[in-house]
Amino acid sequence: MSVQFEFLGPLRQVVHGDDKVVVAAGTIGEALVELDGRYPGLTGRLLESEDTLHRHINIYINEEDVRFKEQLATTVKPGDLVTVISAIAGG
Amino acid sequence: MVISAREVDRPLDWYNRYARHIALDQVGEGGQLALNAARVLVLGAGGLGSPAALYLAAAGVGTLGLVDYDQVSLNNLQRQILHSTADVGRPKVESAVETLQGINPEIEVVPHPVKVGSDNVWELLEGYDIVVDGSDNFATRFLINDVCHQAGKPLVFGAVLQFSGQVTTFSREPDCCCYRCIFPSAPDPQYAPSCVEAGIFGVVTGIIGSLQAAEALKLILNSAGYQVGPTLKNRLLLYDGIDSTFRPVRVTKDPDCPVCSDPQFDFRRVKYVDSCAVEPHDKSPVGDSSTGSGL
Repeated sequence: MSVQFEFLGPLRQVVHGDDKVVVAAGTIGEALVELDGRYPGLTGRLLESEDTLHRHINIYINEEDVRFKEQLATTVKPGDLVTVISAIAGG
Repeated sequence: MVISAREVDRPLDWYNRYARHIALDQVGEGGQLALNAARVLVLGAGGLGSPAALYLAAAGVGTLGLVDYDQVSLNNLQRQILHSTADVGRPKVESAVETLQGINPEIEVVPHPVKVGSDNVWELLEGYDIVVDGSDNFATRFLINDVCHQAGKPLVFGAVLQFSGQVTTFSREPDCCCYRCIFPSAPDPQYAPSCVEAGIFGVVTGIIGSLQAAEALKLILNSAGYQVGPTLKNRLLLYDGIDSTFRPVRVTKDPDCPVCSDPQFDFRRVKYVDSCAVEPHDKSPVGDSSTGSGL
Protein backbone atom coordinates (compact mmCIF):
# COMPACT_ATOMS: atom_id res chain seq x y z
CA MET A 1 0.00 0.00 0.00
CA SER A 2 1.27 3.43 -0.90
CA VAL A 3 1.62 6.34 1.45
CA GLN A 4 3.00 9.78 0.84
CA PHE A 5 5.92 11.19 2.83
CA GLU A 6 6.97 14.80 3.07
CA PHE A 7 10.23 15.90 4.67
CA LEU A 8 10.03 19.50 5.86
CA GLY A 9 12.66 22.09 6.60
CA PRO A 10 16.27 21.00 6.68
CA LEU A 11 15.24 17.35 6.27
CA ARG A 12 14.16 18.02 2.70
CA GLN A 13 17.78 17.68 1.64
CA VAL A 14 17.73 14.08 2.89
CA VAL A 15 15.33 13.25 0.04
CA HIS A 16 17.32 15.37 -2.41
CA GLY A 17 14.81 18.23 -2.32
CA ASP A 18 11.79 16.15 -3.38
CA ASP A 19 8.59 17.68 -2.04
CA LYS A 20 6.60 14.45 -1.78
CA VAL A 21 7.85 10.87 -1.77
CA VAL A 22 5.53 7.90 -2.30
CA VAL A 23 6.44 4.58 -0.73
CA ALA A 24 4.76 1.20 -0.38
CA ALA A 25 4.94 -0.07 3.20
CA GLY A 26 2.83 -1.31 6.07
CA THR A 27 4.55 0.51 8.89
CA ILE A 28 6.63 3.64 9.39
CA GLY A 29 9.71 1.50 10.03
CA GLU A 30 9.26 -0.46 6.81
CA ALA A 31 8.77 2.76 4.89
CA LEU A 32 11.99 4.25 6.26
CA VAL A 33 13.97 1.14 5.29
CA GLU A 34 12.50 1.32 1.79
CA LEU A 35 13.29 5.03 1.56
CA ASP A 36 16.86 4.46 2.76
CA GLY A 37 17.37 2.32 -0.34
CA ARG A 38 16.42 5.27 -2.48
CA TYR A 39 18.11 7.93 -0.36
CA PRO A 40 21.13 6.34 1.29
CA GLY A 41 21.81 7.73 4.75
CA LEU A 42 18.16 8.60 5.44
CA THR A 43 17.73 6.23 8.37
CA GLY A 44 21.04 7.33 9.86
CA ARG A 45 19.74 10.87 9.90
CA LEU A 46 16.42 9.96 11.50
CA LEU A 47 17.09 7.00 13.77
CA GLU A 48 19.02 6.77 17.00
CA SER A 49 18.94 3.00 16.86
CA GLU A 50 17.25 0.40 14.70
CA ASP A 51 13.87 0.97 16.30
CA THR A 52 14.11 4.42 17.87
CA LEU A 53 13.83 7.87 16.39
CA HIS A 54 16.29 10.59 17.33
CA ARG A 55 14.67 12.71 20.03
CA HIS A 56 14.81 15.81 17.85
CA ILE A 57 12.96 14.09 14.98
CA ASN A 58 9.18 13.78 14.88
CA ILE A 59 7.05 11.81 12.45
CA TYR A 60 3.37 12.57 12.12
CA ILE A 61 0.84 10.37 10.34
CA ASN A 62 -1.65 12.94 9.18
CA GLU A 63 -1.60 15.00 12.39
CA GLU A 64 -0.65 12.29 14.90
CA ASP A 65 2.84 11.91 16.40
CA VAL A 66 4.02 8.29 16.08
CA ARG A 67 5.98 8.69 19.33
CA PHE A 68 2.63 8.52 21.13
CA LYS A 69 1.47 5.55 19.04
CA GLU A 70 3.56 2.49 18.21
CA GLN A 71 6.64 4.48 17.14
CA LEU A 72 8.25 2.84 14.11
CA ALA A 73 5.80 -0.06 14.30
CA THR A 74 2.88 2.32 13.73
CA THR A 75 0.89 1.13 10.73
CA VAL A 76 0.14 3.29 7.75
CA LYS A 77 -2.73 3.01 5.32
CA PRO A 78 -3.26 4.21 1.76
CA GLY A 79 -3.95 7.92 1.61
CA ASP A 80 -2.01 8.72 4.77
CA LEU A 81 0.28 11.72 4.65
CA VAL A 82 3.41 11.23 6.72
CA THR A 83 5.22 14.41 7.75
CA VAL A 84 8.78 14.28 9.04
CA ILE A 85 10.26 17.26 10.87
CA SER A 86 13.31 18.13 12.88
CA ALA A 87 13.68 20.53 15.79
CA ILE A 88 15.04 23.86 14.58
CA ALA A 89 16.23 26.75 16.69
CA GLY A 90 16.86 29.70 14.40
CA GLY A 91 15.39 33.02 15.37
CA MET B 1 -12.15 39.57 34.15
CA VAL B 2 -13.52 41.85 31.44
CA ILE B 3 -12.19 45.37 31.83
CA SER B 4 -14.94 47.98 31.71
CA ALA B 5 -14.52 50.36 28.82
CA ARG B 6 -16.27 53.16 30.65
CA GLU B 7 -14.17 53.43 33.80
CA VAL B 8 -11.73 56.03 32.56
CA ASP B 9 -11.73 58.90 30.12
CA ARG B 10 -9.41 58.41 27.24
CA PRO B 11 -8.10 60.99 24.80
CA LEU B 12 -9.42 61.12 21.28
CA ASP B 13 -6.01 59.98 20.00
CA TRP B 14 -6.45 56.71 21.87
CA TYR B 15 -9.69 56.00 20.00
CA ASN B 16 -8.08 57.06 16.76
CA ARG B 17 -4.90 54.98 17.17
CA TYR B 18 -6.76 51.80 18.05
CA ALA B 19 -9.91 52.41 15.97
CA ARG B 20 -9.48 49.24 13.86
CA HIS B 21 -9.14 47.10 16.99
CA ILE B 22 -12.04 48.81 18.69
CA ALA B 23 -14.17 48.14 15.62
CA LEU B 24 -13.72 44.41 16.08
CA ASP B 25 -16.53 42.73 18.03
CA GLN B 26 -13.98 40.40 19.66
CA VAL B 27 -11.80 43.27 20.90
CA GLY B 28 -13.66 46.55 21.34
CA GLU B 29 -12.64 49.22 23.84
CA GLY B 30 -12.36 46.76 26.69
CA GLY B 31 -10.11 44.40 24.76
CA GLN B 32 -7.90 47.28 23.75
CA LEU B 33 -7.60 48.28 27.40
CA ALA B 34 -6.56 44.72 28.21
CA LEU B 35 -3.81 44.98 25.59
CA ASN B 36 -2.72 48.32 27.05
CA ALA B 37 -2.45 46.71 30.48
CA ALA B 38 -0.45 43.69 29.29
CA ARG B 39 3.27 43.06 29.85
CA VAL B 40 5.07 40.95 27.25
CA LEU B 41 8.74 39.97 27.14
CA VAL B 42 10.28 39.37 23.71
CA LEU B 43 13.49 37.35 23.77
CA GLY B 44 15.69 38.47 20.93
CA ALA B 45 15.47 41.63 18.83
CA GLY B 46 16.41 39.71 15.70
CA GLY B 47 14.56 37.96 12.88
CA LEU B 48 11.58 36.75 14.92
CA GLY B 49 11.71 39.40 17.63
CA SER B 50 11.53 42.21 15.07
CA PRO B 51 8.11 41.51 13.56
CA ALA B 52 6.76 40.21 16.86
CA ALA B 53 7.77 43.35 18.75
CA LEU B 54 6.62 45.66 15.95
CA TYR B 55 3.11 44.20 15.94
CA LEU B 56 2.88 44.03 19.72
CA ALA B 57 3.93 47.69 19.99
CA ALA B 58 1.54 48.77 17.26
CA ALA B 59 -1.25 46.83 18.97
CA GLY B 60 -0.65 48.82 22.13
CA VAL B 61 0.76 46.17 24.46
CA GLY B 62 1.42 48.45 27.42
CA THR B 63 4.80 47.15 28.51
CA LEU B 64 7.12 45.49 26.05
CA GLY B 65 10.42 44.07 27.31
CA LEU B 66 13.18 43.32 24.81
CA VAL B 67 16.12 41.08 25.63
CA ASP B 68 19.22 41.10 23.43
CA TYR B 69 22.89 41.66 24.16
CA ASP B 70 24.01 41.83 20.54
CA GLN B 71 24.85 44.73 18.20
CA VAL B 72 23.27 45.35 14.81
CA SER B 73 25.30 43.93 11.91
CA LEU B 74 24.89 44.67 8.22
CA ASN B 75 24.00 41.02 7.56
CA ASN B 76 21.10 41.29 10.05
CA LEU B 77 19.23 43.81 7.92
CA GLN B 78 17.98 41.26 5.35
CA ARG B 79 15.34 40.21 7.91
CA GLN B 80 15.68 42.09 11.22
CA ILE B 81 13.29 44.89 10.37
CA LEU B 82 13.52 46.68 13.70
CA HIS B 83 16.90 48.03 12.60
CA SER B 84 18.15 50.19 9.76
CA THR B 85 21.48 50.73 8.02
CA ALA B 86 22.26 53.69 10.26
CA ASP B 87 21.96 51.37 13.28
CA VAL B 88 24.84 49.08 12.31
CA GLY B 89 27.15 48.78 15.30
CA ARG B 90 24.56 49.97 17.82
CA PRO B 91 23.11 47.73 20.52
CA LYS B 92 20.02 46.03 19.12
CA VAL B 93 17.86 46.92 22.09
CA GLU B 94 18.76 50.60 21.69
CA SER B 95 17.83 50.61 18.02
CA ALA B 96 14.69 48.56 18.74
CA VAL B 97 13.46 50.88 21.47
CA GLU B 98 13.73 53.86 19.12
CA THR B 99 11.86 52.11 16.34
CA LEU B 100 9.11 50.82 18.62
CA GLN B 101 8.61 54.12 20.43
CA GLY B 102 8.41 55.81 17.04
CA ILE B 103 5.52 53.54 16.14
CA ASN B 104 3.81 53.84 19.50
CA PRO B 105 5.03 56.39 22.04
CA GLU B 106 2.09 55.49 24.30
CA ILE B 107 3.65 52.22 25.45
CA GLU B 108 6.66 51.51 27.63
CA VAL B 109 9.51 49.64 25.94
CA VAL B 110 12.03 48.21 28.39
CA PRO B 111 15.48 47.27 27.06
CA HIS B 112 17.31 44.34 28.66
CA PRO B 113 20.81 44.32 27.09
CA VAL B 114 21.85 41.09 28.77
CA LYS B 115 22.78 37.54 27.92
CA VAL B 116 20.08 35.17 29.14
CA GLY B 117 21.27 32.41 31.42
CA SER B 118 20.14 30.31 34.33
CA ASP B 119 21.50 32.95 36.67
CA ASN B 120 19.33 35.84 35.49
CA VAL B 121 16.35 34.36 33.65
CA TRP B 122 14.00 34.13 36.63
CA GLU B 123 14.40 37.82 37.44
CA LEU B 124 14.06 38.77 33.76
CA LEU B 125 10.72 37.04 33.42
CA GLU B 126 9.38 38.21 36.75
CA GLY B 127 7.66 41.39 35.62
CA TYR B 128 5.96 39.96 32.55
CA ASP B 129 2.73 38.09 31.82
CA ILE B 130 3.75 36.39 28.56
CA VAL B 131 7.07 35.45 26.93
CA VAL B 132 7.69 35.43 23.17
CA ASP B 133 10.73 33.34 22.27
CA GLY B 134 12.75 34.67 19.37
CA SER B 135 16.08 33.28 20.55
CA ASP B 136 18.46 31.49 18.23
CA ASN B 137 19.83 28.39 19.92
CA PHE B 138 18.60 25.24 21.59
CA ALA B 139 20.15 25.92 24.98
CA THR B 140 18.18 29.15 25.38
CA ARG B 141 15.01 27.60 24.00
CA PHE B 142 15.09 24.72 26.49
CA LEU B 143 15.96 27.10 29.32
CA ILE B 144 13.07 29.44 28.49
CA ASN B 145 10.64 26.56 28.11
CA ASP B 146 11.63 25.09 31.45
CA VAL B 147 11.60 28.37 33.34
CA CYS B 148 8.29 29.51 31.84
CA HIS B 149 6.74 26.22 32.88
CA GLN B 150 8.13 26.55 36.39
CA ALA B 151 7.01 30.17 36.65
CA GLY B 152 3.60 29.46 35.09
CA LYS B 153 4.17 31.97 32.27
CA PRO B 154 2.59 31.36 28.85
CA LEU B 155 5.25 31.00 26.17
CA VAL B 156 4.86 31.66 22.46
CA PHE B 157 7.42 29.57 20.60
CA GLY B 158 8.70 30.27 17.11
CA ALA B 159 11.72 28.95 15.22
CA VAL B 160 13.02 29.21 11.67
CA LEU B 161 15.67 27.72 9.41
CA GLN B 162 16.21 28.12 5.69
CA PHE B 163 12.67 28.18 4.20
CA SER B 164 10.85 26.61 7.14
CA GLY B 165 9.24 27.77 10.32
CA GLN B 166 7.50 26.36 13.40
CA VAL B 167 5.17 28.15 15.79
CA THR B 168 3.04 27.15 18.77
CA THR B 169 1.82 28.37 22.13
CA PHE B 170 2.46 26.78 25.50
CA SER B 171 -0.42 28.14 27.56
CA ARG B 172 0.45 26.56 30.92
CA GLU B 173 -3.01 25.08 31.26
CA PRO B 174 -2.68 21.63 32.83
CA ASP B 175 -3.47 19.80 29.60
CA CYS B 176 -1.01 21.82 27.51
CA CYS B 177 2.23 20.28 26.33
CA CYS B 178 5.58 22.03 26.63
CA TYR B 179 8.49 22.25 24.19
CA ARG B 180 10.13 19.16 25.72
CA CYS B 181 6.96 17.15 25.06
CA ILE B 182 7.49 17.86 21.36
CA PHE B 183 11.29 17.67 21.24
CA PRO B 184 12.73 16.05 24.38
CA SER B 185 16.29 17.15 23.68
CA ALA B 186 18.38 19.10 21.22
CA PRO B 187 20.00 17.48 18.19
CA ASP B 188 23.70 16.82 18.09
CA PRO B 189 25.54 19.82 16.65
CA GLN B 190 26.10 18.13 13.28
CA TYR B 191 22.32 17.91 12.85
CA ALA B 192 21.61 21.42 14.08
CA PRO B 193 22.99 24.00 11.69
CA SER B 194 22.37 27.60 12.63
CA CYS B 195 20.94 30.18 10.24
CA VAL B 196 24.51 31.50 9.91
CA GLU B 197 25.57 28.15 8.46
CA ALA B 198 22.38 27.03 6.73
CA GLY B 199 20.85 30.35 5.72
CA ILE B 200 17.41 31.82 6.23
CA PHE B 201 14.93 33.14 3.68
CA GLY B 202 14.41 36.49 5.40
CA VAL B 203 10.68 36.79 5.01
CA VAL B 204 10.13 33.47 6.83
CA THR B 205 11.11 35.25 10.05
CA GLY B 206 8.45 37.86 9.27
CA ILE B 207 5.77 35.21 8.79
CA ILE B 208 6.60 33.26 11.94
CA GLY B 209 7.31 36.34 14.10
CA SER B 210 3.99 37.87 13.07
CA LEU B 211 2.19 34.66 14.00
CA GLN B 212 3.92 34.79 17.38
CA ALA B 213 2.59 38.32 17.89
CA ALA B 214 -0.91 37.14 16.95
CA GLU B 215 -0.66 34.32 19.49
CA ALA B 216 0.49 36.69 22.25
CA LEU B 217 -2.36 39.11 21.53
CA LYS B 218 -4.88 36.27 21.57
CA LEU B 219 -3.52 35.02 24.88
CA ILE B 220 -3.98 38.49 26.37
CA LEU B 221 -7.47 38.98 24.99
CA ASN B 222 -8.68 35.49 25.81
CA SER B 223 -7.42 35.69 29.38
CA ALA B 224 -9.18 39.04 29.82
CA GLY B 225 -12.47 37.51 28.71
CA TYR B 226 -12.46 38.61 25.08
CA GLN B 227 -12.78 35.39 23.13
CA VAL B 228 -10.91 35.71 19.87
CA GLY B 229 -10.66 31.98 19.24
CA PRO B 230 -8.25 29.23 20.20
CA THR B 231 -4.52 29.74 20.19
CA LEU B 232 -2.09 27.17 18.82
CA LYS B 233 -2.11 25.37 22.18
CA ASN B 234 -1.35 21.68 21.52
CA ARG B 235 -0.92 22.36 17.81
CA LEU B 236 2.42 22.95 16.11
CA LEU B 237 2.01 24.98 12.94
CA LEU B 238 4.61 24.13 10.32
CA TYR B 239 5.36 26.57 7.52
CA ASP B 240 7.16 25.55 4.35
CA GLY B 241 8.29 28.51 2.32
CA ILE B 242 9.24 26.40 -0.69
CA ASP B 243 5.78 24.92 -1.17
CA SER B 244 4.05 27.95 0.40
CA THR B 245 2.10 25.66 2.72
CA PHE B 246 1.03 25.71 6.34
CA ARG B 247 0.44 22.39 8.08
CA PRO B 248 -0.77 22.02 11.67
CA VAL B 249 0.15 18.86 13.54
CA ARG B 250 -1.22 17.76 16.89
CA VAL B 251 1.23 17.92 19.76
CA THR B 252 0.47 16.18 22.99
CA LYS B 253 1.41 16.51 26.62
CA ASP B 254 3.88 13.72 27.34
CA PRO B 255 2.95 11.99 30.60
CA ASP B 256 6.67 11.19 31.01
CA CYS B 257 7.89 14.72 30.26
CA PRO B 258 10.71 15.48 32.70
CA VAL B 259 9.56 19.10 32.96
CA CYS B 260 5.81 19.59 32.74
CA SER B 261 4.87 16.18 34.14
CA ASP B 262 7.29 16.32 37.07
CA PRO B 263 6.13 18.48 39.98
CA GLN B 264 9.68 18.27 41.41
CA PHE B 265 11.29 19.77 38.32
CA ASP B 266 13.67 22.69 38.97
CA PHE B 267 15.47 24.39 36.08
CA ARG B 268 18.36 25.28 38.41
CA ARG B 269 19.42 21.63 38.34
CA VAL B 270 19.75 21.43 34.56
CA LYS B 271 22.85 22.19 32.51
CA TYR B 272 21.69 24.19 29.50
CA VAL B 273 24.44 23.17 27.12
CA ASP B 274 24.66 20.62 24.31
CA SER B 275 21.69 18.25 24.45
CA CYS B 276 19.96 20.10 27.31
CA ALA B 277 18.62 16.76 28.47
CA VAL B 278 17.03 16.63 31.88
CA GLU B 279 18.42 13.90 34.09
CA PRO B 280 15.89 12.78 36.68
CA HIS B 281 16.37 15.05 39.68
CA ASP B 282 19.78 16.05 38.37
CA LYS B 283 21.84 17.72 41.06
CA SER B 284 24.46 19.07 38.67
CA PRO B 285 25.47 22.72 38.97
CA VAL B 286 23.83 25.43 36.97
CA GLY B 287 25.20 25.80 33.46
CA ASP B 288 25.49 28.72 31.12
CA SER B 289 23.36 29.45 28.12
CA SER B 290 23.88 31.65 25.17
CA THR B 291 21.26 34.07 24.14
CA GLY B 292 19.51 36.23 22.09
CA SER B 293 18.82 36.87 18.61
CA GLY B 294 21.93 36.69 16.67
CA LEU B 295 19.63 35.79 13.89
